Amino acid sequence: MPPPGKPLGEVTGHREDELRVWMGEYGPALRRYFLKKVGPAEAEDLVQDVFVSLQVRGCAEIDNVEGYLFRVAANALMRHHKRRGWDWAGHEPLTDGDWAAEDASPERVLMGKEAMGRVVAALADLPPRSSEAFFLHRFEEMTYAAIAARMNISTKAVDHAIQRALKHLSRALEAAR
Amino acid sequence: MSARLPDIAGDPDDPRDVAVAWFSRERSGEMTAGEAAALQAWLEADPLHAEAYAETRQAWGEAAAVRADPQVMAIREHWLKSHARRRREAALRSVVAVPLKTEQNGGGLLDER
Repeated sequence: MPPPGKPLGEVTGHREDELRVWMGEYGPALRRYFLKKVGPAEAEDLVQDVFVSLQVRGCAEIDNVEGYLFRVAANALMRHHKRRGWDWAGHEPLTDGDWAAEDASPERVLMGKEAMGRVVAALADLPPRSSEAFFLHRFEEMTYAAIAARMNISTKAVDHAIQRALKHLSRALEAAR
Repeated sequence: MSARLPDIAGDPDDPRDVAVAWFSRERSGEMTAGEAAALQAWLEADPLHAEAYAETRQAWGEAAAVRADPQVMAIREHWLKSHARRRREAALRSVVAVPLKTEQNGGGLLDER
């Protein structure tokens, strides 16, 4: 089940809010980077590692976000390979191409606060299975096959779960027009 | 040529349900050339079809706009962590399965609850 719709800003510190924003901005790029090197489950762990280090360090004091994230990501990967006893030779740095253009979507600029609130409410209101499948596909950029394996359901069930989520979202927006 | 319509979770007579089914089929990355042609034909068959499809696209696009919203981030984290939790549980099960097997009736480590 999705967590209750508590306004997080009120229960967590400012630092954590900022961290969530960063995860949204840079999570997909980091995931893509790690997925070139390791399997999906390990990539998820490494993404979490990066954000944990970020939380420990505190985001506010960092000037060059992408440079900092690259160093943390490269270190996380190195530790991972060391644990596995791999030779750390063939690593490639994160490039500009890893930072998704979609994250700076025109929708985000053009959409009003009210419209965004409606989208968030509709997303928070999805039944668990639709929510999990849709979130993993839309935000974590996982394929239907990867989601099916992860949720231990068929790709057809993933397809249906995503259809239900889209329908729910689309109707919530329609009702507001 | 294969099926004229994709696999629809909802009502095949409701263009909005058919639209999300087509959209999801596209997203699956498994759409065949025949299906793409069928989608094109479906879109051209009725302005309501095209409208329903445009609305689905818009919903998809608008979801991206809120990807970093705190409430959305909390749900994202929840699903990411739930997977790690499930994996930990599965790993734990595989570890305790051995003593359970060897100690059959001898008071295993875990009791069935």
